[in-house]
Amino acid sequence: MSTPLLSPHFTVAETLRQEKETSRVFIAHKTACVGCYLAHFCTLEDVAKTYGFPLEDFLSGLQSEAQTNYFTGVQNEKQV
Amino acid sequence: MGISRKDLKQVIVFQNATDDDLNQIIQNSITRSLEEGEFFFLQGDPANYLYVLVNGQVKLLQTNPSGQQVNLRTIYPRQMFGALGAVREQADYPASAQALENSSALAIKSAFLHEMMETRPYLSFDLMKLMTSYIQEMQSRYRELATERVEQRIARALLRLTVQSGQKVDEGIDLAFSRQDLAEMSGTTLYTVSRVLADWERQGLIRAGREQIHITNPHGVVRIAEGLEK
Repeated sequence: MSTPLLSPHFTVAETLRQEKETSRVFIAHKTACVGCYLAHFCTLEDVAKTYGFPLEDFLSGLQSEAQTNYFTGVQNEKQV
Repeated sequence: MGISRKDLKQVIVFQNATDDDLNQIIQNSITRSLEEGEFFFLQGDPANYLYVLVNGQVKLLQTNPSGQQVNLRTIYPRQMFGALGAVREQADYPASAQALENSSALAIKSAFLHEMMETRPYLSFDLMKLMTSYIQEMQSRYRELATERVEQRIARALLRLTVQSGQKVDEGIDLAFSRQDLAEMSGTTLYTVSRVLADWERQGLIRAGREQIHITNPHGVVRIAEGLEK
Protein backbone atom coordinates (compact mmCIF):
# COMPACT_ATOMS: atom_id res chain seq x y z
CA MET A 1 0.00 0.00 0.00
CA SER A 2 1.57 3.35 -1.02
CA THR A 3 1.46 6.63 0.90
CA PRO A 4 -0.26 9.55 -0.89
CA LEU A 5 2.36 11.76 -2.58
CA LEU A 6 2.11 15.53 -2.29
CA SER A 7 3.05 17.52 -5.37
CA PRO A 8 4.32 21.15 -5.38
CA HIS A 9 1.34 21.92 -7.63
CA PHE A 10 -1.22 20.87 -5.03
CA THR A 11 -3.16 23.80 -3.65
CA VAL A 12 -3.23 24.38 0.10
CA ALA A 13 -6.92 23.36 0.12
CA GLU A 14 -6.20 20.09 -1.74
CA THR A 15 -3.34 19.27 0.63
CA LEU A 16 -5.41 19.92 3.75
CA ARG A 17 -8.35 17.99 2.31
CA GLN A 18 -6.16 15.00 1.50
CA GLU A 19 -4.23 15.07 4.79
CA LYS A 20 -5.71 17.38 7.37
CA GLU A 21 -2.86 16.63 9.80
CA THR A 22 -0.54 18.60 7.51
CA SER A 23 -2.10 21.71 9.05
CA ARG A 24 0.53 21.25 11.81
CA VAL A 25 3.29 21.76 9.25
CA PHE A 26 1.68 24.96 7.85
CA ILE A 27 1.37 26.30 11.40
CA ALA A 28 4.91 25.23 12.40
CA HIS A 29 6.22 27.17 9.38
CA LYS A 30 4.33 30.21 10.71
CA THR A 31 2.15 30.55 7.59
CA ALA A 32 -1.39 31.96 7.59
CA CYS A 33 -2.53 29.26 5.13
CA VAL A 34 -4.89 27.26 7.37
CA GLY A 35 -8.28 28.94 7.05
CA CYS A 36 -7.03 31.45 4.45
CA TYR A 37 -9.45 32.78 1.81
CA LEU A 38 -6.94 31.89 -0.91
CA ALA A 39 -6.34 28.26 0.09
CA HIS A 40 -7.92 27.18 -3.22
CA PHE A 41 -5.61 29.42 -5.23
CA CYS A 42 -2.14 29.02 -3.65
CA THR A 43 -0.04 25.97 -4.47
CA LEU A 44 2.57 24.53 -2.11
CA GLU A 45 5.16 26.03 -4.44
CA ASP A 46 3.52 29.48 -4.04
CA VAL A 47 3.55 29.07 -0.24
CA ALA A 48 7.28 28.24 -0.12
CA LYS A 49 8.05 31.17 -2.44
CA THR A 50 5.85 33.63 -0.50
CA TYR A 51 7.31 32.77 2.91
CA GLY A 52 10.83 32.25 1.59
CA PHE A 53 11.62 28.73 2.73
CA PRO A 54 13.05 25.85 0.64
CA LEU A 55 10.29 24.00 -1.23
CA GLU A 56 11.99 20.63 -0.77
CA ASP A 57 12.15 20.95 3.03
CA PHE A 58 8.55 22.14 3.17
CA LEU A 59 7.32 19.29 0.98
CA SER A 60 9.24 16.67 2.93
CA GLY A 61 7.80 18.07 6.19
CA LEU A 62 4.29 17.80 4.78
CA GLN A 63 4.99 14.37 3.33
CA SER A 64 6.36 13.06 6.59
CA GLU A 65 3.33 14.37 8.53
CA ALA A 66 1.00 12.82 5.94
CA GLN A 67 2.91 9.53 6.16
CA THR A 68 2.87 9.42 9.97
CA ASN A 69 -0.83 10.10 9.97
CA TYR A 70 -1.43 7.60 7.17
CA PHE A 71 0.33 4.75 8.99
CA THR A 72 -1.23 5.65 12.34
CA GLY A 73 -4.59 5.62 10.57
CA VAL A 74 -3.91 2.20 9.04
CA GLN A 75 -2.86 0.86 12.45
CA ASN A 76 -5.98 2.26 14.09
CA GLU A 77 -8.15 0.71 11.40
CA LYS A 78 -6.53 -2.69 12.05
CA GLN A 79 -7.15 -2.35 15.79
CA VAL A 80 -10.80 -1.60 15.14
CA MET B 1 -32.54 29.28 -22.30
CA GLY B 2 -33.84 26.64 -19.86
CA ILE B 3 -32.13 24.61 -17.20
CA SER B 4 -31.52 20.87 -17.19
CA ARG B 5 -32.18 18.52 -14.28
CA LYS B 6 -28.42 17.99 -14.04
CA ASP B 7 -27.81 21.74 -13.67
CA LEU B 8 -30.61 22.09 -11.15
CA LYS B 9 -29.08 19.32 -9.05
CA GLN B 10 -25.97 21.48 -8.63
CA VAL B 11 -28.02 24.09 -6.77
CA ILE B 12 -27.24 23.59 -3.05
CA VAL B 13 -30.91 23.47 -2.07
CA PHE B 14 -31.69 20.81 -4.69
CA GLN B 15 -28.60 18.62 -4.29
CA ASN B 16 -30.59 15.82 -2.67
CA ALA B 17 -33.67 16.13 -4.87
CA THR B 18 -35.01 13.11 -6.74
CA ASP B 19 -35.41 13.23 -10.52
CA ASP B 20 -39.16 13.29 -10.02
CA ASP B 21 -38.92 16.31 -7.68
CA LEU B 22 -36.61 18.10 -10.10
CA ASN B 23 -39.09 17.49 -12.93
CA GLN B 24 -41.91 18.91 -10.82
CA ILE B 25 -39.83 21.99 -9.97
CA ILE B 26 -39.04 22.57 -13.65
CA GLN B 27 -42.71 22.12 -14.57
CA ASN B 28 -43.76 24.71 -11.98
CA SER B 29 -41.34 27.36 -13.10
CA ILE B 30 -40.72 29.75 -15.94
CA THR B 31 -37.50 31.10 -17.40
CA ARG B 32 -37.03 34.86 -17.23
CA SER B 33 -34.37 36.52 -19.37
CA LEU B 34 -33.32 40.08 -18.58
CA GLU B 35 -30.96 42.55 -20.12
CA GLU B 36 -28.15 44.17 -18.18
CA GLY B 37 -29.47 46.69 -15.66
CA GLU B 38 -33.02 45.27 -15.49
CA PHE B 39 -34.49 43.92 -12.25
CA PHE B 40 -35.78 40.42 -11.48
CA PHE B 41 -37.58 41.98 -8.51
CA LEU B 42 -37.57 45.15 -6.45
CA GLN B 43 -37.18 45.58 -2.72
CA GLY B 44 -40.68 45.51 -1.19
CA ASP B 45 -42.32 43.48 -3.99
CA PRO B 46 -44.31 40.41 -2.84
CA ALA B 47 -41.90 37.43 -2.82
CA ASN B 48 -44.03 35.25 -5.10
CA TYR B 49 -41.11 33.62 -6.90
CA LEU B 50 -37.69 32.36 -5.96
CA TYR B 51 -34.98 32.22 -8.59
CA VAL B 52 -32.13 30.02 -9.73
CA LEU B 53 -29.68 31.86 -11.95
CA VAL B 54 -29.08 29.98 -15.20
CA ASN B 55 -26.55 32.35 -16.76
CA GLY B 56 -25.22 35.86 -16.23
CA GLN B 57 -24.66 37.65 -12.92
CA VAL B 58 -27.12 39.28 -10.55
CA LYS B 59 -26.54 41.82 -7.80
CA LEU B 60 -28.68 41.82 -4.65
CA LEU B 61 -28.88 45.35 -3.31
CA GLN B 62 -30.72 47.11 -0.53
CA THR B 63 -31.62 50.79 -0.62
CA ASN B 64 -32.22 52.99 2.41
CA PRO B 65 -34.91 55.75 2.45
CA SER B 66 -32.39 58.37 1.33
CA GLY B 67 -31.50 56.28 -1.73
CA GLN B 68 -28.11 54.98 -0.59
CA GLN B 69 -27.45 51.47 -1.92
CA VAL B 70 -25.62 48.58 -0.32
CA ASN B 71 -24.57 45.58 -2.36
CA LEU B 72 -25.45 42.50 -0.30
CA ARG B 73 -24.02 39.85 -2.59
CA THR B 74 -23.43 38.86 -6.18
CA ILE B 75 -25.23 35.79 -7.49
CA TYR B 76 -23.56 33.44 -9.97
CA PRO B 77 -25.05 30.67 -12.16
CA ARG B 78 -26.72 27.79 -10.27
CA GLN B 79 -27.14 29.91 -7.13
CA MET B 80 -30.57 30.53 -5.64
CA PHE B 81 -31.88 33.98 -4.70
CA GLY B 82 -35.12 35.54 -3.47
CA ALA B 83 -36.15 32.40 -1.55
CA LEU B 84 -37.76 34.18 1.41
CA GLY B 85 -41.30 33.65 0.10
CA ALA B 86 -40.88 29.86 0.16
CA VAL B 87 -40.18 29.97 3.89
CA ARG B 88 -42.41 32.79 5.10
CA GLU B 89 -45.92 33.35 3.80
CA GLN B 90 -46.81 36.79 2.43
CA ALA B 91 -43.19 37.91 2.59
CA ASP B 92 -41.80 40.84 0.63
CA TYR B 93 -38.37 40.80 -0.98
CA PRO B 94 -35.95 42.49 1.44
CA ALA B 95 -33.66 43.51 -1.43
CA SER B 96 -33.72 44.17 -5.18
CA ALA B 97 -32.11 41.82 -7.72
CA GLN B 98 -30.49 43.57 -10.67
CA ALA B 99 -28.89 41.85 -13.67
CA LEU B 100 -25.22 42.88 -13.89
CA GLU B 101 -25.12 41.49 -17.43
CA ASN B 102 -27.69 39.85 -19.72
CA SER B 103 -29.00 37.06 -17.47
CA SER B 104 -31.56 34.23 -17.38
CA ALA B 105 -33.07 32.70 -14.29
CA LEU B 106 -35.53 29.98 -13.49
CA ALA B 107 -38.43 31.53 -11.56
CA ILE B 108 -40.06 28.95 -9.26
CA LYS B 109 -43.36 29.70 -7.52
CA SER B 110 -42.63 30.30 -3.82
CA ALA B 111 -45.94 28.69 -2.80
CA PHE B 112 -45.09 25.56 -4.80
CA LEU B 113 -41.69 25.12 -3.11
CA HIS B 114 -43.28 25.81 0.28
CA GLU B 115 -45.76 23.01 -0.40
CA MET B 116 -42.96 20.64 -1.44
CA MET B 117 -40.99 21.44 1.72
CA GLU B 118 -43.84 20.20 3.88
CA THR B 119 -43.34 16.64 2.66
CA ARG B 120 -39.62 16.67 1.82
CA PRO B 121 -37.35 17.33 4.82
CA TYR B 122 -34.21 17.38 2.63
CA LEU B 123 -35.46 20.63 1.06
CA SER B 124 -35.78 22.32 4.47
CA PHE B 125 -32.35 21.09 5.60
CA ASP B 126 -30.65 22.14 2.39
CA LEU B 127 -32.33 25.55 2.51
CA MET B 128 -31.16 25.87 6.13
CA LYS B 129 -27.60 25.16 4.97
CA LEU B 130 -27.87 28.03 2.50
CA MET B 131 -29.43 30.34 5.09
CA THR B 132 -26.86 29.58 7.78
CA SER B 133 -24.01 30.24 5.35
CA TYR B 134 -25.59 33.65 4.58
CA ILE B 135 -25.99 34.39 8.29
CA GLN B 136 -22.34 33.53 8.95
CA GLU B 137 -21.25 35.76 6.10
CA MET B 138 -23.39 38.63 7.37
CA GLN B 139 -22.02 38.19 10.91
CA SER B 140 -18.48 38.43 9.57
CA ARG B 141 -19.36 41.55 7.61
CA TYR B 142 -20.99 43.11 10.65
CA ARG B 143 -17.90 42.39 12.74
CA GLU B 144 -15.72 43.92 10.04
CA LEU B 145 -17.84 47.08 9.92
CA ALA B 146 -17.84 47.41 13.68
CA THR B 147 -14.20 46.71 14.38
CA GLU B 148 -11.94 46.94 11.36
CA ARG B 149 -10.30 49.83 9.59
CA VAL B 150 -11.38 50.59 6.06
CA GLU B 151 -8.30 49.20 4.30
CA GLN B 152 -8.80 45.88 6.05
CA ARG B 153 -12.50 45.80 5.09
CA ILE B 154 -11.69 46.48 1.44
CA ALA B 155 -9.05 43.71 1.48
CA ARG B 156 -11.57 41.25 2.95
CA ALA B 157 -14.24 42.23 0.42
CA LEU B 158 -11.69 41.79 -2.37
CA LEU B 159 -10.78 38.32 -1.06
CA ARG B 160 -14.45 37.33 -0.82
CA LEU B 161 -14.90 38.38 -4.44
CA THR B 162 -11.76 36.42 -5.33
CA VAL B 163 -13.14 33.26 -3.74
CA GLN B 164 -16.42 33.70 -5.66
CA SER B 165 -15.08 34.64 -9.07
CA GLY B 166 -11.28 34.84 -9.16
CA GLN B 167 -9.27 33.10 -11.88
CA LYS B 168 -5.77 31.91 -11.07
CA VAL B 169 -3.34 32.98 -13.78
CA ASP B 170 0.43 32.57 -14.15
CA GLU B 171 1.42 35.49 -11.97
CA GLY B 172 -1.42 36.00 -9.54
CA ILE B 173 -5.21 36.11 -9.68
CA ASP B 174 -7.58 37.95 -12.06
CA LEU B 175 -11.08 39.06 -11.21
CA ALA B 176 -13.72 41.34 -12.67
CA PHE B 177 -15.82 43.73 -10.59
CA SER B 178 -16.61 47.43 -10.36
CA ARG B 179 -15.14 49.75 -7.73
CA GLN B 180 -18.69 50.67 -6.80
CA ASP B 181 -19.39 46.99 -5.96
CA LEU B 182 -16.28 46.87 -3.81
CA ALA B 183 -17.29 50.11 -2.05
CA GLU B 184 -20.77 48.75 -1.30
CA MET B 185 -19.41 45.40 -0.12
CA SER B 186 -16.96 47.02 2.25
CA GLY B 187 -19.29 49.76 3.51
CA THR B 188 -17.26 52.69 2.22
CA THR B 189 -17.24 55.23 -0.58
CA LEU B 190 -16.09 54.95 -4.18
CA TYR B 191 -13.51 57.64 -3.46
CA THR B 192 -11.98 55.65 -0.58
CA VAL B 193 -11.86 52.45 -2.64
CA SER B 194 -10.07 54.28 -5.48
CA ARG B 195 -7.59 55.82 -3.03
CA VAL B 196 -6.83 52.47 -1.35
CA LEU B 197 -6.51 50.60 -4.66
CA ALA B 198 -4.12 53.27 -5.97
CA ASP B 199 -2.05 52.87 -2.81
CA TRP B 200 -1.98 49.07 -3.19
CA GLU B 201 -0.98 49.49 -6.82
CA ARG B 202 1.98 51.64 -5.72
CA GLN B 203 2.96 48.90 -3.25
CA GLY B 204 2.86 46.31 -6.06
CA LEU B 205 0.03 44.30 -4.53
CA ILE B 206 -2.38 44.71 -7.45
CA ARG B 207 -2.83 46.15 -10.94
CA ALA B 208 -6.23 47.81 -11.22
CA GLY B 209 -8.15 48.31 -14.46
CA ARG B 210 -11.53 49.97 -14.95
CA GLU B 211 -13.70 46.99 -14.08
CA GLN B 212 -11.08 44.39 -13.32
CA ILE B 213 -8.16 43.78 -11.06
CA HIS B 214 -5.08 41.63 -11.18
CA ILE B 215 -3.79 40.62 -7.76
CA THR B 216 -0.04 40.36 -8.21
CA ASN B 217 0.71 39.68 -4.56
CA PRO B 218 -2.20 37.67 -3.10
CA HIS B 219 -0.41 37.14 0.20
CA GLY B 220 0.04 40.89 0.56
CA VAL B 221 -3.73 41.36 0.34
CA VAL B 222 -4.29 38.51 2.85
CA ARG B 223 -1.81 40.23 5.18
CA ILE B 224 -3.86 43.44 5.12
CA ALA B 225 -7.18 41.56 5.46
CA GLU B 226 -5.96 39.56 8.44
CA GLY B 227 -3.91 42.35 10.01
CA LEU B 228 -0.75 40.21 9.84
CA GLU B 229 2.70 41.67 10.35
CA LYS B 230 4.90 42.11 7.30
